[in-house]
Amino acid sequence: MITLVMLLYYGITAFTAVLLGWIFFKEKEDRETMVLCLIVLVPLVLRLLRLK
Amino acid sequence: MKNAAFKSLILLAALLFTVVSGVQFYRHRHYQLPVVAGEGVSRVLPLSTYEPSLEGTMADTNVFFLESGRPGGTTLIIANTHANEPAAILTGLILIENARVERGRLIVIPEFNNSGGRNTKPGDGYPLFFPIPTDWGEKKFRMGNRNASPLDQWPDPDVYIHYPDRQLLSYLDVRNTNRTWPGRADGPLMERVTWATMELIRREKVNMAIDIHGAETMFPVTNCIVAPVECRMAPGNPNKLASRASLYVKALEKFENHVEPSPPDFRGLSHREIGDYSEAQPFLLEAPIPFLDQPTGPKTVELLLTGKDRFLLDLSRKGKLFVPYDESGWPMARRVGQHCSVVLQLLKQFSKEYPDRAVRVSSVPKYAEVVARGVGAFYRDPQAVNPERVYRNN
Repeated sequence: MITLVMLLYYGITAFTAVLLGWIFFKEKEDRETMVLCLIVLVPLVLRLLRLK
Repeated sequence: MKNAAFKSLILLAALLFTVVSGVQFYRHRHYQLPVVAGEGVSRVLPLSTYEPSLEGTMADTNVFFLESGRPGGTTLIIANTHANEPAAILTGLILIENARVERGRLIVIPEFNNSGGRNTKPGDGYPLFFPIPTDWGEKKFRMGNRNASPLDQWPDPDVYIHYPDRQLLSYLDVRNTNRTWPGRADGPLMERVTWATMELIRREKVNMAIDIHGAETMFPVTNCIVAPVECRMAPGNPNKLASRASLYVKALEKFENHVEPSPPDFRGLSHREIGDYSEAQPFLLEAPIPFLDQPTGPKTVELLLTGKDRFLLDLSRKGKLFVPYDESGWPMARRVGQHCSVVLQLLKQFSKEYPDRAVRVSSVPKYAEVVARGVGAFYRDPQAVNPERVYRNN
């Protein structure tokens, strides 16, 4: 059960990371949004790579 | 076009940041501390011997047996329950490398929360490693964190419901191996670590368990021995033995180490559950660690090793600390020396009280010797010993 919940959380993390990446690449004007997306993405990428 | 250039620039910066921090985190997590087994060590087993589901996980850890071959009692020493309280592992390694057991058995787990040792606290600016100077160079230690790494146990619940008492604890405590006692075989990973240790205590017939910690100078339960007055299963009054040990170190070795009773209604702690679920009398040792206090300067290696901080000095002058504190800080050697002496004194008092379960240990330095020579004087160069006597946790 715990393993299943963990896998779901990794799924949510991956989904959020893809979403943020998508927003970053789609954004053409707002620099704040671009920076914000990348700042939020860093810990998600580190978790998906099982580094932190 | 201007925005496109900006976008590329910040993407590059984010990638660089991710790679640099990722490499550091990877090196920290996968550093293998060499532990030299001294002449007193007769065998080394993984903790998974007592709970097979730990095998292959970052929670598995080496257990060192120092056996005299003569009848007597068995004492378990647990270090690095909280891997950000490093005086514990330094004491554990001094025992493993130096202790000679003349009667009974000593069992030492130097990296109890092995996963916690591979975690860090970047938000607080924790250093990843710290050096201990020795005669042969510097021995490199990893600075860990209080809780197990979320890479090994994730996600956390909203509230941790302690097993079996169902007391509500902080969500983080599900990864804290001093809240998950006595554990269960099918629980989260850290509950399985404490369960495995309870199994070790029961199967090896441990009579006394000593869990080594460190605590903030602004926290009242610091510089002390915590022991229950009464246990559900363990015989006797551990608090009485702790009081005797405290008086002896004060009289003979001239340092304060008061006694705190283990609160009977606060569940999950080693000094409560070990005695309630086994025949072993539990004790928990606390030495001050200024590094963990909140109102300090940067969390540097120097602060960790010397315990010197000007903000704490100001607070000390205002009477806000629970330990004596002056310009000399609280050097690591003083903390480790205290732990060595208190462990030896507890063994002595326990052996006096229960002669048939005595554990007699020699060659372990006391407080004054550790302070005079430094912690590193008691470690051997892992490169200069038989490689078969050097153990590393995976």
